Amino acid sequence: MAKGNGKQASAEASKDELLQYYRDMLLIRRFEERAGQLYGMGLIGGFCHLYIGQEAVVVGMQAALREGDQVITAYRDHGHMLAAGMTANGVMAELTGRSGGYSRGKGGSMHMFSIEKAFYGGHGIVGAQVSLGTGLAFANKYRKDGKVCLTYFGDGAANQGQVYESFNLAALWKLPVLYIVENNQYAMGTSIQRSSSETHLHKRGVSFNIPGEEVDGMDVVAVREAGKRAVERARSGEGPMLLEMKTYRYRGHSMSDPAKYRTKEEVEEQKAKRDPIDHVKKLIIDAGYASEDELKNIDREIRSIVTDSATFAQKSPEPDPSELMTDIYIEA
Amino acid sequence: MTQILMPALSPTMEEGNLTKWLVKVGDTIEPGQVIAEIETDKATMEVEAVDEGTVTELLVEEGAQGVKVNTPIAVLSGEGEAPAPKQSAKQPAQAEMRQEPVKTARAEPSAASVAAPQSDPEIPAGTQMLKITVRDALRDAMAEEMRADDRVFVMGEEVAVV
Repeated sequence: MAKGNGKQASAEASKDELLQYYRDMLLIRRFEERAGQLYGMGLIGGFCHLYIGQEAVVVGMQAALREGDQVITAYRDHGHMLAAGMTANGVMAELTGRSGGYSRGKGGSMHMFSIEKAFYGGHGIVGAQVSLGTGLAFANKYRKDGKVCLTYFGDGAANQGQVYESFNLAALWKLPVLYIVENNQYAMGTSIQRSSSETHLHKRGVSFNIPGEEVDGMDVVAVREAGKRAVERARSGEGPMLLEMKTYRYRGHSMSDPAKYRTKEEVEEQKAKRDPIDHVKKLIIDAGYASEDELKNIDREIRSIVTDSATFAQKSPEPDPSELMTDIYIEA
Repeated sequence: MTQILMPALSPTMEEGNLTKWLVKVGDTIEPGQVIAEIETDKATMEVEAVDEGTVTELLVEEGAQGVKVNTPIAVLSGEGEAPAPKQSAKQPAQAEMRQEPVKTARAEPSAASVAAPQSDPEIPAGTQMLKITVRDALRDAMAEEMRADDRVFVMGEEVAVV
């Protein structure tokens, strides 16, 4: 079950795939840095939870999906949306509360959806998305549409009761759902050792007969391989799996977190030794798939996409007051 | 040329102290690099670079107190990227445009005194009262605690612990 740290030399990825992963992960990182800057300028209200460091998880998992498969997560969600193919413009404009955003500027990071890209949020209640994701999978089974729902949560949410109520029903009914714990080791400011009696979170499904696997969440190819196996299993009607992604967030829990619960040295070591983007870059360079200069061109392209999204997110008008009571109920 | 602005690192921050520069003029910096430490009303925080380039000017000296959010603190000349006049010209302008709403987002404690609750014997007669939001009251109280006791700090999302 537990598969070591998933660093398999056997996992292969083609030139096109690696370049795509590099591009997708870099987009997330540059986007997040820019979002942090806009937050610093007072353009994003409330809080802002950046995904920097964890990019390989969503990019690898997305590569294991089929069109129509769903994704649902909590509020560290900008990366999930970009990986799902939502536009940088639409996401950034939602963060700044502008009408060009995915929820027309009325939702922000915790209430952002795209039915078209099968992204079901973006939720503010810790752990609640796990029940919702299980419900989506129940609908998939009921409709026999062959879709699988990826349900993400963090190591903090892993201690929420409703997660286990969901596990029980998902395993009982063999729902096409995948549970993905993004274990970045800190639930806000509490390390997993201080909060959890069983810190190997992939074992948390054992009493529900949900098999688990530990995956190196900083290695996009390892993530994709584990994702493919689990998605296949869920799609064929064998029920859920629990993938524990060992990952790390470089920034604070939110922008206002000085992160005193860990040492600077720890963060620097993770950045230097485990960075998921550096890892793919090395695979690309070592295999001769692209030169440093060619990668620089990709960097430039990404930077311009992100700069444009920041401009759009500042120029797009704020929602009109007449929108106050729209998009609240849907006519069934 | 890109200006680096004093960032707001919490929903309530209006100004901060620039306690330490971690770069100097002539240094090449890249996105994600920590360039300065600033002290907010709650904590000491790191400022990371967003753009890459060479530091050409530090506009605020180390130790400067009460630097308003969105004040330019350094200038960067772009490197490796196509000259980005669009970006450098736009962002400060946008920042200015937005400065008003940002400032007023926090309700100004109105000087108009509010009648003291008569029933509270703890409050000495003649105490000057201020109208303040719950959020600001909590923030100020946490900041006061942190100044008084260095074992108190803020973690995660505005949660103070000892």
